Amino acid sequence: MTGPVEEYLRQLRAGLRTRPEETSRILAEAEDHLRESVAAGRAAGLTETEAAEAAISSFGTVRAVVRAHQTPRGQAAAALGSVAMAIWLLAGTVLTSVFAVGLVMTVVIAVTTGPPRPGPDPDPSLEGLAGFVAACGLLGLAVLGTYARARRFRQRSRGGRR
Amino acid sequence: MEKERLKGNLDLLLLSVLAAGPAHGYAVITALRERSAGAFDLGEGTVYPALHRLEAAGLLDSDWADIPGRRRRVYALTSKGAAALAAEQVRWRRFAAGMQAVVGWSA
Repeated sequence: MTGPVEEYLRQLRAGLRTRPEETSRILAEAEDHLRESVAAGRAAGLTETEAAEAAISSFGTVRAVVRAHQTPRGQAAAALGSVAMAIWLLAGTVLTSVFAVGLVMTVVIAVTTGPPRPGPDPDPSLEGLAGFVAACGLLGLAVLGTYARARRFRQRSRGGRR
Repeated sequence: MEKERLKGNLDLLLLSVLAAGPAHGYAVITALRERSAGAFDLGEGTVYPALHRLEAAGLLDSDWADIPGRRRRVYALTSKGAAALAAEQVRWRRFAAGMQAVVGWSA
């Protein structure tokens, strides 16, 4: 049976970025602590689930415990990663916005000027603009796609938001 | 601010609790809470890194103890830790006396 303590330890294991022997020690100590805390809660009259939830709450969130076990260098790397993610999201949003605006403008121009008249010399500046807008759209989608994947990876590696 | 102040003095608190004898993390944290009458209530999981750091600095020693179904890490003060605690206690008493003299002063 998987209870709240087992689930918490699973998330902690997934979130820790420490050497294997260190991870093993941290998990063993966390398990010992939580089991003893649950036993104290049970002795005080709580149900098994209530005692487990209280023990986990007192121990701290997975994120807080993972952060506490990070070295200053690890904390700096995590902060740098967050900044890089924010910049990446901004870049993706700007690129897709350019594409969206370009698309709307194209539709508006098409509606207001009617179908293009056949001729030997299509306007090169308009063709260039259309290519730029399309490139922005593709690039923006690619950037947002990689952002979403990186965000999922970071959340998994942090053990969720518990 | 209270938490930051507590974190700044955590090493001294942990060494003081372990001066009473070897103990595992849960017992250290429980003693800390009880001796402070509930005033020092830290996120329990964040105390372990401090214990590990004190051990890495040579102020604590630790070993595994087998109990039914799981393992337990028991911490003890080293002679270097006892000396560091004695020195810190002197500093703390001087600081606390100075603070009390200023903060508790009434005209």
